[in-house]
Amino acid sequence: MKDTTKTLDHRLHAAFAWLLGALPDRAAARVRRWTGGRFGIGTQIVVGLGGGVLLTLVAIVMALGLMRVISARQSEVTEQHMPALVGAFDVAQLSAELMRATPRLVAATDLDGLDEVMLDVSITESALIEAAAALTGAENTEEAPGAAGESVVPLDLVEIVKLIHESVQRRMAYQARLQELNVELAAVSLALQAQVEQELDDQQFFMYTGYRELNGGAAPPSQRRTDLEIRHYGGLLNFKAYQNETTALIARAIAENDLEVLRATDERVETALSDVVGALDDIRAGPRARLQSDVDRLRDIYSSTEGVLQTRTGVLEELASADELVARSRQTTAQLGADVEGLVDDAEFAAQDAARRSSTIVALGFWFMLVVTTFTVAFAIFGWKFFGERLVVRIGSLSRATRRMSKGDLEVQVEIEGNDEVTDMAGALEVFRQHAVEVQRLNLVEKLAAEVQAKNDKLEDTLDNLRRTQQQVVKQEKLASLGALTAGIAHEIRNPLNFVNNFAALSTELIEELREEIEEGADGNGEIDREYVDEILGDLDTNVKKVNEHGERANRIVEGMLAHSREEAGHVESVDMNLMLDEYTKLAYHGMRGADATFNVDMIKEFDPTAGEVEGIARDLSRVFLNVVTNACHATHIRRQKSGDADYFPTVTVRTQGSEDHVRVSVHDNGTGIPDEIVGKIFDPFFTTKAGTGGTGLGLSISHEIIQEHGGKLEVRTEPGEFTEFVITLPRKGPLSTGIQV
Amino acid sequence: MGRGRLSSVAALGLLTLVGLPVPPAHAQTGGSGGNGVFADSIVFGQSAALSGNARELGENMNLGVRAAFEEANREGGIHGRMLRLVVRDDLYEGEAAVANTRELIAHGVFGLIGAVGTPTSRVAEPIASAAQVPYIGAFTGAELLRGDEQRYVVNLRASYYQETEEMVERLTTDLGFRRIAILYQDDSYGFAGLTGVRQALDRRNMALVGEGTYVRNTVAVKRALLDLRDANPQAVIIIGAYGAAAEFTLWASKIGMRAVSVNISFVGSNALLNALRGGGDGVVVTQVVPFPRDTSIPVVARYQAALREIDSSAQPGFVSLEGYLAGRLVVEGLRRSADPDGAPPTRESFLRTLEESGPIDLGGFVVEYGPEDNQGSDAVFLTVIRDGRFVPVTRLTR
Repeated sequence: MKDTTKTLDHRLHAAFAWLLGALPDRAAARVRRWTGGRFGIGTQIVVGLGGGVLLTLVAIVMALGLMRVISARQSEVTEQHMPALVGAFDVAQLSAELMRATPRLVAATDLDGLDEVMLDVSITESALIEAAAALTGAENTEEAPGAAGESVVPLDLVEIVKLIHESVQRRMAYQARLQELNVELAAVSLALQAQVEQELDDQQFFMYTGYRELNGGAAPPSQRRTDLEIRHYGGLLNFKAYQNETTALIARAIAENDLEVLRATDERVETALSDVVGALDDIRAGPRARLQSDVDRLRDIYSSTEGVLQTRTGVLEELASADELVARSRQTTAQLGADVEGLVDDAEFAAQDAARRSSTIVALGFWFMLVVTTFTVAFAIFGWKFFGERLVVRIGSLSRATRRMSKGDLEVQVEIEGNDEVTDMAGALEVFRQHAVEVQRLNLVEKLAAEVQAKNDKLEDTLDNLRRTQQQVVKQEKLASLGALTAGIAHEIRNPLNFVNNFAALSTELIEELREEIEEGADGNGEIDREYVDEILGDLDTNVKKVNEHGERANRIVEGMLAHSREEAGHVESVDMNLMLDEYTKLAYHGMRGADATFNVDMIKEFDPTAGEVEGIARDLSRVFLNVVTNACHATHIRRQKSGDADYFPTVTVRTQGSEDHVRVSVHDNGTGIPDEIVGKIFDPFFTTKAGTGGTGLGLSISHEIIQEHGGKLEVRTEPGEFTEFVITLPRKGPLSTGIQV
Repeated sequence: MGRGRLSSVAALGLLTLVGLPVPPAHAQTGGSGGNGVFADSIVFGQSAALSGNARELGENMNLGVRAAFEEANREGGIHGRMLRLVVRDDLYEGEAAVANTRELIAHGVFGLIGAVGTPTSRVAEPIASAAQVPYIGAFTGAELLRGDEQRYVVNLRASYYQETEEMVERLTTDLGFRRIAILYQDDSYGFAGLTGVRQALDRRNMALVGEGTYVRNTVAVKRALLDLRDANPQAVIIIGAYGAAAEFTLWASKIGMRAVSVNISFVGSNALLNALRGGGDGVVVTQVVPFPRDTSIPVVARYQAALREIDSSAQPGFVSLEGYLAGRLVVEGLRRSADPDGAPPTRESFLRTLEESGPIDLGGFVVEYGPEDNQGSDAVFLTVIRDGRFVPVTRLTR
């Protein structure tokens, strides 16, 4: 790491130097002026932070540019396509309105109605022209107006409406004329009818009576029905018939709706008219002249340039023309609708295009920002790695070196590569250090000697104190264990003493009997029962032996007690394990009983007869057994006191097991067990759970030591609240017997 | 058509009381077309023959109505509202009558008054009734205006049936005639008279001995005369216009047919007298109004005075008296239906007033209407031409 740093630092500064060299002279001079000619901390910070700032600025500028582009695209849509779209809709709507108005124009029944419709129409028209103008203006701004701009044809529609209006006006003029003609026809017809009726009446009356005038005379019968009179009468009759027919035909022509039929009717009218004229020829000159003018009127009504035929033809032609124009207006409007649809499609396409371009740009912007951000982060990391971290590491090592030196460690070497302020400081510090080392070396030796002497003295004192304390503690432990033994020993001694007393008392009685026997034998019948005396003497001998035996036993107990408390090192001997265990189990039990009368325990002894002997220090081993069994008893007692369970039977099982070269002794109790957290500490000196109850905390510690001295193992198995089992494994011949110290 | 005609009508000048009213719409108090009631006037319309063979009838009806209106206006009008009359010429032809009636209703007249003729009334009345415009005092006795359902029609005069009944009654009872023939105009007027005569004869177990017709607006009656001559009638009842009636009477006399000409009121008595050119002695005319020179009747005296007020040269006549009576009836009806406090009459209130008023005495001429009776008078008067002038008679003599 340090090597790499050095290499990188070196390379960085080398690169900077190279850059200075590579730059043109003026620029290099300027950079030299700014940086002091090297890649200093200032330059490093400027390069590290400035790079990030520069990239961020570039990103912001690019983002702004992209936003401008997007906004331009959006406004292109809103400012160009939307108005065109709205305008096109207006045009289409107004055109449709205008188109719908055209049948109304055609359907107008009089001039007033037509004017009314025309007023509506002209309002719609001007709106349409305005909208169309606006639309054309809007379209022109677009780059490619395309087909839509050329084919928006509202002006055609306006033209058509104008044509329809003119046509309807002409038709109305025709219709007004037709109405006049109709009235005229009725008048002429009535006049002709009246005249011809009158003439017929007169002629028929004459042909019957010969009278023509009220104040005239009657013609003679021979003159009444001459060929001339009959011809005149027939002419009148024909005239009446043809005139009626003509009038009816003209009336029909006035109302005719079919141009073709009108032409057919025309032929019939002409025929009927010529018939009328033909009939007129037969009528006498006077009446004919009167009728002639009305016949001329009739003909004029029909066939003059302003007559029925021309006028009706005009009406029908105008109707056809108007229909055609209406159809054209529909067509135009439909075309317009299609155009507008096309325009809508265009606008929609443009909008979609703009939106697509916008989203592309947005995506591009996103990726660009991502890249820039990544670069910025990467640059920041790079900057940190190559400048910041390097700087921190280098300043850190400088700082550590300074701290160590301030604490007096002048041995540290201050070595920092590179060419900047840190290197300067490092160099300066190294100089200081070397000066300090020189000064320090002069007085360090004597100072150290004095200090070591003082410390040695103090250590010796401490060691002495420690030794004294240790001795005291061991003594205390021994006394404590002796105290625990006292009660048991008292009990053990009381037993042999009772035996001794009893056997002594028995012996006294036996002696009394012996004496009586001897005395009776002497003064009575004088004969001593020898057999009886021998029996008594045998008994006495047995008793004395018994007393002796029990006395020995008491003595042994006292010896053992003394040996137990003796401080000098014990001697190695063969120890019967079963015997010793039995003895100290009892002592422990009675010791507990002596201390607390409520204590009780079911003591089970399972001794292996083959347990045999172990070579060891009896005094020490006895202490171990006493300690372990007492602990077991104590554990059961505590559990019984704490639980108060009537079904709980405190049990301590003492077991021996012999093998060829080992004896295994286990003391198992169903007491409180040992909590997990302290099971590891029970062999530590001065650790006790019986604080304040007289425990020294050395019992198990010393026991452990003793067993180890004997080359054995003292192990514990326990389940808190269930049991504890101490297992002592002793070799038959341990290190003590072989003289090897452990 | 209406517009074209207007100028010629306006040219008549004296015949037109007022010009075509173009009342501002807001001045009207009625609905569509207006109800003819304005702030200071109530407007009536008249469509009648002002030209053609029946022109004297139209002119005289117009004269009579105007005389009555002017008289009322001089008296303060209808609670301050002046009566005005707009007149249109229909040439005694149905088509023109239809157009005139529509135009007048469209311009908002209170009612139509003084129409002349059966064929014209026949087509004009349904238009008026449909528009709920009163159709008052038509110069016709045709039954077709005398239905139970025609509540917008206000007839003044007795019906043609009543006249023909009177004719037949007088001819059969006064003169004991059994041979009665008829000359009728071949239109609805003529047929109305024909039907009336036939019914009257049927009631007496009689039949017509001859029938002749002539074409309206002509005097071509001589072929009919030839037909009737062969039937040798004692009397010829003429249901026609004065021209034809006069022609027939004169020619009948010329060819020696001695039948009594009996004319119906519609003939137009003064016109007939003129047309007869002094040759009409003995010609009988039934009338539906009193004798116009009989000033003993108060309303006739008023009529003559009113007539002189508007035209000093005008001679009293049956037609203008009928027009006057129709005008008087309107005035009376309006006055009775208008609230004196100012609430103007309405068409409905006017008609209701007439229906509910009971007998209305116009001054010796009493009319009475009811919910199912739209004919005011049942009176038929008899006149005969003697020495070139009409005289009222109560029975016929040989």
